Amino acid sequence: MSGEPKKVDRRNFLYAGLGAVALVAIGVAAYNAMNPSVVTQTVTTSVPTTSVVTTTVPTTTATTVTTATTITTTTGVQKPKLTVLFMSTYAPAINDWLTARTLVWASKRGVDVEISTASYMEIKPKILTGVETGNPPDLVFGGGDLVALLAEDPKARHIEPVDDVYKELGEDDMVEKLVKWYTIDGKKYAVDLALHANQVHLIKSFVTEVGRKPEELDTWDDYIEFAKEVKRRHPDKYPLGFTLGKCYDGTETWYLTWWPHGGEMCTGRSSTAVKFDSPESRENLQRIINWYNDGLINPQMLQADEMLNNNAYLTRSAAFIIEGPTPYYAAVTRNPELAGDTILKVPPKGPKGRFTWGSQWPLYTFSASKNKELAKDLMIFLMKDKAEYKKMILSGLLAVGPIYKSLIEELANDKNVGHLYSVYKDSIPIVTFYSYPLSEPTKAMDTVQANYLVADLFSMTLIDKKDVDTAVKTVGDQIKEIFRRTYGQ
Amino acid sequence: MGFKEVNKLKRSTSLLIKKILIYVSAVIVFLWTALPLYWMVTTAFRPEKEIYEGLVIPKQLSLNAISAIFGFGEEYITVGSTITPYIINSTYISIIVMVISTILGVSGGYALARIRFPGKDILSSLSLFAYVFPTVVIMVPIFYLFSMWKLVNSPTGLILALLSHTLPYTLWMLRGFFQTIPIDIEEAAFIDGCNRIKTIIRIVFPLSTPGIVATATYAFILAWNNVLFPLILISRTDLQVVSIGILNYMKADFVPWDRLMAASFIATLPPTLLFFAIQRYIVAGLTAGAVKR
Amino acid sequence: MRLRTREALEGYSFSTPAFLLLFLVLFFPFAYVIYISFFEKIFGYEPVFSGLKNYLLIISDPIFKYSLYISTLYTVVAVIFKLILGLAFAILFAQEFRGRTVVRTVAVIPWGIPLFVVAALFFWFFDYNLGLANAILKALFGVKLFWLGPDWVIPSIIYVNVWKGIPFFMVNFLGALQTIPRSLYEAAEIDGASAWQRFRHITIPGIKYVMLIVCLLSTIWTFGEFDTIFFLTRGGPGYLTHIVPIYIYHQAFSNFSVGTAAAASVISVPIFLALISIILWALRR
Repeated sequence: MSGEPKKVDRRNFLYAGLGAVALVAIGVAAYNAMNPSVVTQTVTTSVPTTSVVTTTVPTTTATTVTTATTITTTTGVQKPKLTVLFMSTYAPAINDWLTARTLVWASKRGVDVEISTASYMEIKPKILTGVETGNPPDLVFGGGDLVALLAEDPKARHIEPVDDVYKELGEDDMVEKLVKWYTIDGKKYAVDLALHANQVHLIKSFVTEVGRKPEELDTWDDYIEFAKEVKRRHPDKYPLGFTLGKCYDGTETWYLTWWPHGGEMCTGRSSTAVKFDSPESRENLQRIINWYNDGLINPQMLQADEMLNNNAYLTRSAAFIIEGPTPYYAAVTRNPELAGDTILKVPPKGPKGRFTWGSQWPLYTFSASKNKELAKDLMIFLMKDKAEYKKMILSGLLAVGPIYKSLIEELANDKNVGHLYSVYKDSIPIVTFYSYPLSEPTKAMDTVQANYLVADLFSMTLIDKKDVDTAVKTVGDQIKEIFRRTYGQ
Repeated sequence: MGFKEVNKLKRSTSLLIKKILIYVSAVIVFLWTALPLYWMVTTAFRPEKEIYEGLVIPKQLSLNAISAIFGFGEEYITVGSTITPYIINSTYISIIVMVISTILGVSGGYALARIRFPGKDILSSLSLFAYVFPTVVIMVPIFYLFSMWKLVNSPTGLILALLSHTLPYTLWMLRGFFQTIPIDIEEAAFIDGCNRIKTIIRIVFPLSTPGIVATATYAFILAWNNVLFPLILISRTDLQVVSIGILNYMKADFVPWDRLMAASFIATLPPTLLFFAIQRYIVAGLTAGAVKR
Repeated sequence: MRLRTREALEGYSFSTPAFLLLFLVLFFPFAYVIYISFFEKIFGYEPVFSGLKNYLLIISDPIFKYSLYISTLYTVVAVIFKLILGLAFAILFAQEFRGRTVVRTVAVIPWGIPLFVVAALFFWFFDYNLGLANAILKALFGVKLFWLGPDWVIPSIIYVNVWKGIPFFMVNFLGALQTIPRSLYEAAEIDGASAWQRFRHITIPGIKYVMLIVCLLSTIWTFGEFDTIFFLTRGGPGYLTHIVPIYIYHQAFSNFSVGTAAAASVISVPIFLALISIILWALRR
C-alpha cells in the first residue's frame, strides 16, 4: 500500500472512454448472442416447471379493496392465474365494484387473480407492450380506442372475439350502437361495461342571474349568447369549461362542436374517404378560436389535463361544461351544494342536429392469452347478474349509464333517480362515434384518436399562431396519411 | 463636527443600512421558500369545504384529509384513495435498494479508494460517470429489456432499475469517505498482522460509520424519490409506490386538493426528515468529497 | 510481486459485484439503446434494421428541434438563476443576524423534498382559481396569471426548478465561503476596497472552483430532469414545454416507437458526455 492515492492523469479519460466503448461492444455482442435464446426460452417456460403455487387470499369485504396477501404453499396442482388490467375510472365506486366482483368470482372459480390498474393516459402503453412481449393481460377493462387497432388487421388480430359472451348476455337487450362499436368483419371483439355519455353540466344560478331559464337554452347559439352574458357580468370567469389540450377531453371539445355544425370524419376505409379537410372544419376551428379570444375559455384549458374542465365546473369558474357526468358524481360526493345547483341536459343542438360523445368502457381479452376462456367467464359474471350490475351503475351515481335497454327504461322511470337517467336515455340516440359518419370501428381512426390528433388544432392555432387553414390542412393530411398507411390507399 | 465624528456617523449609518438590508432579504428568502410549503401544509390540514372558498388563511383545522388518505372515514376505500399500500411498498423497496447499494458500494468504494489494482482508475471514472449520468437516457432500454426479461411489474425489476441510480452514487461517495480516513492507521493494523477483512471491520468501519450511514440514507432517499422507473415498470396496483400514488391523485378527472396535499405531505416526511439528519455529511460528500480528494 | 497479485485479486473481488450489477442495469442498457436506435421498432412489430433512418427522422422532426431548444433554454436560464440566487442566499447566511438558523433551515427544505412532491405542490400553488400564487398577485397587484397557460408556462417551470434547486447551490457556496480566510477581507477593507471589489476579487476567486462543479452538476441534472415537467404539464400546453426527456417518453410510450425514442436518447448523449467530461476534467485538476 502506498501513501497518496495516485493522481489520475488525463490519459485515464482515454481509458475510460475506451472502456465504455468496449463495454458497448461487449453489450451488443452479448445481446446478439442472447437474443435467439430468449425467444426459445419464452416457449419453454410456458410449461410449468415448479410445484410452488402462490395462492391469493382476498382479505376484503365487498366494498373495501385492499392488496391481496400472497401465501406460498407447496401443492401439486397449478391453479390458473388470471391477470386483469383495469382502467381507473373517475368514479372510484365503480372500480371498487369491479375489484370486489372479480375477487368474488375468483374465489368461486378457485382462480388466482392479479389486478393492475392504470389511468386513462397510462393504460394504452401497458396494453400495447403486453401484446408486444407476447404477454398481454388476460382481461382488459378500458382502452376502447385500441380495440380496432388490435383487431381489424386480419394479419394481426390480437383480440379474441367474444361472440359467445354476447350470446350468453343476450344481445337483444343491448344498445345496438354499442354492439356495433366492437363489431369488425361480423365478429364482436369487446363488450362495453357501461357508457359514459357526455351531458351538459349547467350551473343554474348563472342562468337565473342573466335572467333566463335553463330550459330555454337549447342551441349552440343560445349557449354562446348565455356564456357571453355571464362573461359581461363576471369578467374573471371563463364560462365555457372546454378543454383544449392534447388529451381525451380536448378531442371531445372538437367533436362536440364540430358534428352539430356539419363536421364529418370519414365515410370509408381509405384515404380518399377522409372528409376532415373541409370548410366545416375551418369554420368550427375559427369558432372556437373566437370563443377563446373573447375570453370565454380559460387559457389554462390548453393544458393536456383531463381534470381542467371538471375543476372549472367544481369551482364555478365556468358556467357549464359538457362531460360524461363524473364531475356531477364529484359534486354529489364532495360539494352537494353545487350538485343541487346543477342541471344536466343533453348537449346543444346545431344546424346539423344534436350529437354527444360517449366514452367507451370495454372489456376484452386477447388471443394470445392462456386464460381467455376464464376471461370470458369473468366478463359474463360481471355483466350477467342484472341486480349486481344495477348496483354498480347506481354506485357510480350517474357517472355512467347501463348498456341494457331494459335497465335504461327501468332507471329512467325510477321515482328517485328517473329525472337523471332520463337525460341519459335521451343521450343514447345521439351518442356518436369518432369515425362518424362511417361510425364503424377502424384501425386508422383508432390511431388518430389514440394520438389525440384533432386536439393539435387548438395548440397549432392558439399557441403556435398558425392560421386556421394551415392547421386544418396539416391535421387533415396527417389523418389521410394514417389512413393511407393503414389501408394502402 | 470633526473628521472623526463624520467618519463614525458614516460608518454607523452604513452599518444600519446593512442591517436593514440583511433583515429585509432574510424576510424575502423566508417567504420565497416558505409560502409554497405553507400552502401545502395548510391545505393538508383544512376541511375540504374551505378549499373551494378560496381562503388563504384557514378558518379551522381538520385531520380529515390525512385520515382519509389512510382510508379512515372514507365511504369507499379504493386503492386510489388510500396511500397506505404505496407507502409500504415505497418503504420496503427503498430499504432493499439501500441495503444492496450500500453493501456493494462499501466493498466497491473501498476497493476504489484503497486497493491498488489495474483498471482501478477506469472503474473510478466509470462510477463517477454513472453517478452523473441522467437516467432518462436509459429509460427506453430499461423498459424494453426488462419487459423481455419478465421484470416488468415485479419488485425485483424495480429494485434493479433503482440500483442503476443509487449504486453509482454510493460507490462514488463511499470512495470519497474512505479516502479521508488516514491511511497510517490502516497500515499500522496491517503491520500488526491483520488481514484485509479484519482491517476493514476493525479499523475502517468504525472510522467511516457516519459516512456509510449518511450515504445509505441518501440512497434510500434517492430510491424513495424516483418517479421514472416505477412509472414505466409498474402497473400492478398492489406494487405501486408513493410517487405514482401522488401522480394518480393529480391526473384523475378531478383533483381532491386536500387529499393530494395530505398525501404529498406524508410522502415528504420520510425523505425530508432523513435528509436533515444527514445533511451535514451529504454536503461534505458532495463538495468536499467530490471536489477535494 | 505475489503481494501485488494478491492485492489486485482483492481489488477485483471487492469491486466486481458492484460493477457487474452496474453493467447489467446501466452499461448494458446504455449499449442497447445505441443498438436499438438503428432499428425501426414499433411496439407490436418485429424490429427491422433501418440504419440511420431513425436519426434522420428525429433530426427532421421540428418538435425534436424545438425540444432541444427548449431544454437548453430551460437549463441555461434555470442554472443562471440558481447560481445568482444561490450565491445571494449564501452571502446572506454568511452574515450574522438574529434568526439566521431558522431562516437557513427553512431555506434548505426544498432540497430535501422529493421532486414529485414539489410538482404536486406547485400544481396546487399555481391553480388559477384557488392557488396561493394568484391569491397573492390578486391582493398585491389585482391581477391573476395563467401560470401554466401558454404565455407563462416556461417562466413557471423555470421558477419551480429554481425554487427546488437553490439550496443545493446555497449550501455548497456557504461551505466554500467559510473556507475563505476572514483576514483577507479585513486586509482588503483596510486597503479601502469597496464591497463590490471585495466580492469580485476575494469571494469569487475563493469559490470559483465549487461554482464550476455545482453549475455543471446542476446543468446535467436540469437537462435530464423529467419528474416536475411530466407531473406539471406533460410537455404542454401544445409542445411548449416538450423538453428532451418528455420527447423521449412520448416517442416510446405514446407513439410506441422504440427506435426513434432510442435515437433521441442517443442524440442527447453527446451533450451529457461533454458536460460530464468537463466535470471529470475539473475534478482531476
